[in-house]
Amino acid sequence: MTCKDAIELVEAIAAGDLVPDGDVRAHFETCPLCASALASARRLEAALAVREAPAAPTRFVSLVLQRVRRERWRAEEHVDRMFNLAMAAASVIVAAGVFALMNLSGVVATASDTLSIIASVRGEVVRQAAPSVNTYVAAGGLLASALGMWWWAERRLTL
Amino acid sequence: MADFDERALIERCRTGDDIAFSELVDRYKNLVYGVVWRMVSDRSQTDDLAQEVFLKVYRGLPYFRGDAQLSTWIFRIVANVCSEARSRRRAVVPALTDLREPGAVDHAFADFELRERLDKAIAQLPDNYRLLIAAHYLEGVQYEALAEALNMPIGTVKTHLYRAKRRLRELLQ
Repeated sequence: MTCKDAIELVEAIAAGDLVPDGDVRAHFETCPLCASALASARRLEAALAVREAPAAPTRFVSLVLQRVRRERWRAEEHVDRMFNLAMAAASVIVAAGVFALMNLSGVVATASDTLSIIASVRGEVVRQAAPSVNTYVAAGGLLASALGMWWWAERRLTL
Repeated sequence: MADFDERALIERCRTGDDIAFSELVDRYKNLVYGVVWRMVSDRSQTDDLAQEVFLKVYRGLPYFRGDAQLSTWIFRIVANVCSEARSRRRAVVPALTDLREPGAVDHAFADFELRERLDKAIAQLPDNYRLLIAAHYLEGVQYEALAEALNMPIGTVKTHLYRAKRRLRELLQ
């Protein structure tokens, strides 16, 4: 057993992974250099074993849960957005299909005549409804505010 | 923690039970926090990365087959998150100049000042060695779990740990 061989075993012996016997033991008992290295390794082992690890902050669990909930909400929001997009695309396709079908069957030509009749009637309707415009605007504003508050409250609850 | 309890906890988490997930986080928070702290040595970054670990645990739970212990799987995630963080931004490590104080080291490892020097010496280790030291000594992750988590033979884990400790002794002398 040479010092070079013994030094290779120092950490394993200090960690308790290797029990020195025979030549190894004899070498560490007689070689002051290797014995000193082993003593140093044992002190390091002891120092590492007693080092304290910092504990997680007290609010750590609730912070993690907040992030998890936010992530879950984002995932749901993504699914909702994709669903809305799919519905919009489907509506456009259906509308285009219906229009193409009506065009082919000549309904569109008839409809243009109908539209000119509707336009003349619309002028009359606007003239009669003009005095109540302020009431309609106020009601619309109230409805928009209520919808906005509902959306905000639901968003807060989800978060 | 008994294997049965662990499986039951995982199953409850998979059903979307937030209380079960809180229990899981509570059980492993110090393991995760301690190792991440030793890897990055920055409080706010540790908070962020430790939370990211549990976010990945949450995302991965549906795919966790239970072949390994939950702690081993979580430790693997810790190793990956720390590795990704390092590739984003190298950790700032203290200078080596104040580590050397010949003659005094061997007699007073328990001393506070020397514990600080030991921390600084650990910070000088290569990342893979630091992770092994942090997990094995600070959080008591055993050789087998380290080997499984890092996908290495146990012999390699031991060899890396021995080399890490030899390097530490060199830094402290």
